[in-house]
Amino acid sequence: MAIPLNKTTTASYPRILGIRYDPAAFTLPDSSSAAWDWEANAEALQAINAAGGTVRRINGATAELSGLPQLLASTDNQFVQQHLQNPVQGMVISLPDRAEITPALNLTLRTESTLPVEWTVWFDLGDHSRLTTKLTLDLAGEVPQSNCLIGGTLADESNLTLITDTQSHQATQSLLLGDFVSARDANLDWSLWPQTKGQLLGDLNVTLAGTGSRATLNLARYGYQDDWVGIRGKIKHLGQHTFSRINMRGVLYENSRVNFTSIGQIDHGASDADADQESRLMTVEPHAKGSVNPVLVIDENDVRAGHAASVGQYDEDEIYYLQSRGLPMATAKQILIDNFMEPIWRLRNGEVG
Amino acid sequence: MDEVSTTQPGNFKDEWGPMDDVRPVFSTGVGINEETIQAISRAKHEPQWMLDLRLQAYQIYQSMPMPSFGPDLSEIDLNEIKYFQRATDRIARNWEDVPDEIKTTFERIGVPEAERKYLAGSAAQYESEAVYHNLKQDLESQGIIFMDTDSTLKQHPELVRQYFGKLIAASDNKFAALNTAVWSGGTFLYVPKNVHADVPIQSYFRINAGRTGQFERTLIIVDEGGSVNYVEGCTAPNYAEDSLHAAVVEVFVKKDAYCRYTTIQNWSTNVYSLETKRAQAEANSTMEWVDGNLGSKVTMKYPSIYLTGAGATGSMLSIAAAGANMHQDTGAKMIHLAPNTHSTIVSKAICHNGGRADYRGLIKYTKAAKRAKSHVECDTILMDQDSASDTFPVNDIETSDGTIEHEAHVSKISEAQLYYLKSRGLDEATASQLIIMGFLEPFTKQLPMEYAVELDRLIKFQMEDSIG
Repeated sequence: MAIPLNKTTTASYPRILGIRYDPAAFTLPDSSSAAWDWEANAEALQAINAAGGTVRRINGATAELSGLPQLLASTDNQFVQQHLQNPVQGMVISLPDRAEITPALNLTLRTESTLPVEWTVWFDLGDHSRLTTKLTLDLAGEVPQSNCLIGGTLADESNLTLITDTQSHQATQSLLLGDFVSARDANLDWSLWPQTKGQLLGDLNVTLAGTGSRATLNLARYGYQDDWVGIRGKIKHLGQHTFSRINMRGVLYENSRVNFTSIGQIDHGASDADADQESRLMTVEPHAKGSVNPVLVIDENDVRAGHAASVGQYDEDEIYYLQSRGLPMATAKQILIDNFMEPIWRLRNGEVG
Repeated sequence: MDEVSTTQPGNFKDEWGPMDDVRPVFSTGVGINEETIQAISRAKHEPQWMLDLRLQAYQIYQSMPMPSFGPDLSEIDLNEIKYFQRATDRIARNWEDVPDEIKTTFERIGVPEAERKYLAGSAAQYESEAVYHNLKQDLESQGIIFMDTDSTLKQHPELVRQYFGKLIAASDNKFAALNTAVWSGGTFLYVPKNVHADVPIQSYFRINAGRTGQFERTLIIVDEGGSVNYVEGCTAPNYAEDSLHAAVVEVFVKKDAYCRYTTIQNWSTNVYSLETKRAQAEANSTMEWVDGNLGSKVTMKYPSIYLTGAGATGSMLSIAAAGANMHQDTGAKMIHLAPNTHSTIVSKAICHNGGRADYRGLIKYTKAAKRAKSHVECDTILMDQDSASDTFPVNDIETSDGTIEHEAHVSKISEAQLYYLKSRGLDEATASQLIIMGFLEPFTKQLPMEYAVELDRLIKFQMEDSIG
């Protein structure tokens, strides 16, 4: 399938009905010749192979990505379409129908390059298949820019639990993209901890195309120094009886700036859909700044849709109470911060949802 | 320019309320150019500075694009609108002096009744200018100025010049520029220092001619320590051709003052209501918008409050009801520019018969807005499968010690509540109506009693086909 958009080199968030969600934009890497490696735990690889699945490195055409036409047909993510115009480098994890992989796949992509990096990690899960993956994207070198797409297709009644950590050793410009399409009764639990330093622009999309499909997107971010972070998470409901949750939390230190935008979209015909979002930021230090923009786009009446958002400091009364119990200020503050982030870690650890 | 128009309304439908055969005695005809603007200014015997302001605004209007967001405005033909017509050539001081045809219309929508029972004064706007003006002696004696803006320009030109366009410049948006160029009518209200207008002050607006633009310009100034509750209602008969209502409202709330501005808008579903409303709240003052949008084909209205003084408080309480072929694109903006400022937005919307109601809002904390707090709630009920609602809040925070909370919900009528009410013997239509009125209660309980009754009747009437 032809990629429909012309190549552009500058990205910025689109205007949504007159509202520009993130003012910052930066130049994306064109293509990458950076060297990189991957590793995974042998136990999971063996289990996937034994079930008829594969975990393989790709370096070339986008045609290798099964389900791509579906995704391109459903996504309005301009970054994904731009990303796929370059030769795709990365990993494909595919499972046939009814493959239930018990050991979690611990997959790490690492580069020590000084060149821009472009990675694609693509999941292709067959009917009734099940997989848990802990994915780490490690920019260990002096990578100036990275452009990573994590996406794929989940067939009927498949289940993907995905924990994604991204990290860099120095300040970089990172574009983190997500785009999944879920079929009937498929389930995606995706927890992200994007901790690359410097500038981070995230655009994470899930399309619930099949009846009864579900998705939960949990994201945590700590902002330090001059980090600039803008992350948009969007779950689009196309099928009936679909369910989604977006939970984003961030703690801001020093001069960091974090902007969360969450979008719940329910299209006409997606009756009995249930979409809820929660985005919260805690500003710990005086020069840190944060914004949250929760959006609902609802074209169906038989739905439950809501969002809650907040930005604020820790509660002074709670600090006072903890200090009155003998705790030093730093410890009291840390307890409140940990408590603030705890719901995301709990979701990440699979205790809820 | 037509000196005498023979405008004849047509295609009147009973369900859209009364319409009268009123013939304007002066009209600039259809369309707009510099000559139109000069004619308006000349007819009003305005000072030169106002004409200069109008002409400058017209240049800005021509250069500005239409809004790039929100509802479809492509069907408005700005060259097919009558920008000024005068229904009567003198201002009436007493109700008996108001021409019978016009009086009939006001009587049908209840202005005299409201005035007799509850209201202190009334400056009702008919088409493009005030035709009726009455202020109770006790308010007048306190120094309150309450009259149409045209008369104020004649009688208190220095006051108008001091405040006109100071909050909403012509360059704010295309329709603010258009209003500044062709404005006519509107209300001027000045409350002196430490004066409390202890009864609501009311004004009615009404469009009564197809293709008649209403460009009223309202200025409210509540001086230090003063307080006022201003109420404005809109209703219009239905016509085949689209009408445009592009008002500009500027409200200045000085230190320690209080102002509540209540609007009920019930334009017929051929009216484009594109309004710009903005208030400035100084130190320790309170500004409240109470805003009901029940009619129109398209409404674009985002009243804002600039909280410029420490400890200022702003609030917005709004409802929107969108039926067939209606698009209510409303919201609010709270701009915090000073320490310890607080704001609240509560927005409720009901969509039925395929209507669309969108919320579009902004909370902004500038660097100076230390310890600011804001709370936003948006709730929407979608009555049927063809109705839709989007929620677009933007929170722009440049401080680290502020607090902002936002909640929104979209759903259909609660089946659990319906089930309960039906189990108590109510039929589905009555139960649905009860739930809807309960949903709107935070808004209706803030209204003067007459408005609450009228709103109740309008909502029930509008949703007759949707409930049950």
